Amino acid sequence: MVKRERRKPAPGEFEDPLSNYDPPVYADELEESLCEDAVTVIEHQPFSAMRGGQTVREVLAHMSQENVACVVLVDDDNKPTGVFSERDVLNRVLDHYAELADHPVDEVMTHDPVVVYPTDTPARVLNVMVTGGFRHVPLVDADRRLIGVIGARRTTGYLQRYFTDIAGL
Amino acid sequence: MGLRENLLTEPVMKLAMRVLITVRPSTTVRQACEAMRQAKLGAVIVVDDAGHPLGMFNEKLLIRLMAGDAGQLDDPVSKHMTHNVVCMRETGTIAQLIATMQGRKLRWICVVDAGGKATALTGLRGVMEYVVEHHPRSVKVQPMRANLSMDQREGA
Repeated sequence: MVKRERRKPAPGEFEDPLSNYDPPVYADELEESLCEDAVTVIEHQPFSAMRGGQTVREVLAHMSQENVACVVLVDDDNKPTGVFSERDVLNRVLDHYAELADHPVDEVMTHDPVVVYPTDTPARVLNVMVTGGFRHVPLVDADRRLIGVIGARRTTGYLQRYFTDIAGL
Repeated sequence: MGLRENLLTEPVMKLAMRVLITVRPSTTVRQACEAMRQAKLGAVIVVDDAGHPLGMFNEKLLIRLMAGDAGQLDDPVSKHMTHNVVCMRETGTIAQLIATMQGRKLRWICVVDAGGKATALTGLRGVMEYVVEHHPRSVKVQPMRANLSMDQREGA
């Protein structure tokens, strides 16, 4: 990359603060999309949301019927309060299923989930999933109302879009 | 080399791998789940005496089981496992692995060596960790928790 000499402005002259700005250089369109696109380029619908207060039994039946790995629990205002996923079942419910089956799911869900906004980039969602260890991330609008869920399968599907044209894949 | 190029040419062995947990067919579902929980992994591979994979038990099957009859948790795992274990050589490309997982709706791929012996487990998460590892400058700088707007007004 060519390093530009910084020209000293004459006294009283306006200096554009961006004159020295080098936009980031991306090796290919996938990298560019990862850092520049909106997270909504990743599929985020349909998703499964339920009101809080349902019993663990009801939520499990719903997950099994709909064949989903995670349910977002929302309040009356459609704002996510927690996420109940397969890992919560394995870690918290399995051993005490007999006692917990009729308790509200709020007791065993993961509270206060990390959310992403439509203005975030796909890179942010990847960071939340890998560094934060969350398999599903709710997508919310500016008022924190739920508009989608992004999971590992959908993120991988987004990566796959960049080489569907290759023969044999 | 860009990320797309990397995914197309790099072999599967470059992905983040998980240690394979194996159980015998006679193990109960409950014991298999305990092994999964200890390893913080969503799946176990059921193997025969010679170590060849017979099937897989994972979290999704557990949900289905619990939503049905929780008494089945003490059944042998071989009764409820899926026989749909997809194996791939470690020399295949990452792009092939992604295409296989997406096409067949899989979350896990069993990695096998030249002799057909299962050596490790990788999956959707392995792919994502690969991307993060190779692009830490783009991905790891992203905030974990961020708010679009401030909760309270600034100033008076």
